[in-house]
Amino acid sequence: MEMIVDALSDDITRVHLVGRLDILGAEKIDLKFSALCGSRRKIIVDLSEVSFLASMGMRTILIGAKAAGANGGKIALLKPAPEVEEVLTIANINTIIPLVHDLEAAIGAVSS
Amino acid sequence: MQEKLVVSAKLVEFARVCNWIKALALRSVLPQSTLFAIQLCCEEALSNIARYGFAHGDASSREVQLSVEQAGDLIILTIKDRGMAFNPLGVPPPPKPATVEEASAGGWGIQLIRKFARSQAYERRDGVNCLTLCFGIDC
Repeated sequence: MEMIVDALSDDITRVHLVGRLDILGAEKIDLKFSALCGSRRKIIVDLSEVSFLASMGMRTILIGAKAAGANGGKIALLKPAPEVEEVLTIANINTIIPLVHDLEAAIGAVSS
Repeated sequence: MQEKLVVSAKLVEFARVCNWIKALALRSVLPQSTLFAIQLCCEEALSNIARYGFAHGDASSREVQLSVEQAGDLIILTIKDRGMAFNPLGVPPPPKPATVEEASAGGWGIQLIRKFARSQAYERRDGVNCLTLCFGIDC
């Protein structure tokens, strides 16, 4: 699991997660993902290259969302693959964190 | 196809399980969606066993046996362990969270197993927890 960060604009950060967000993948990025989310106001988490997601990976995403919220920030989840989206939906993550399929919608979600 | 793997109930073994399933899937030409479902259910089931199944007891008894066989268009995965009696299918889902602050990613594993496996069965026999999951190959 890799985490690649780029600035979309002055105040919007995109975090690409690449690979498997399984137990080991989650462990690898836990701390830095949480630290990043807690230090930015608008974070778009690009899930398009996440090939696997289970509970521990969802925990990482949630911890990031909580860190962002505690800092007055927002996150949105962008373009999960169908099975990844299904995992997020079963755990009702999509009801508390915006889950969108295009960048414009993601920008809108973190800016509202 | 009938394959077995024995691992210890530790998180470090998860990569081995994941690779084993991937190799099986390649040999049997399983669809990506079936591979995803099996790996997900394995991770969730093993997480429960590793975290709760062996609160006490020596390391040698912390073995988990996984076996996979194909029956027509179904893949049958069986997970056996000698941990404390625990029927994962009896666990109700956590309440639906209203906000990020009150949400927890814990507790959803069983729901994920219910949704991603076509059928699930549990029995406890002779001190062994036995969880059987079936996956469709055409899913």
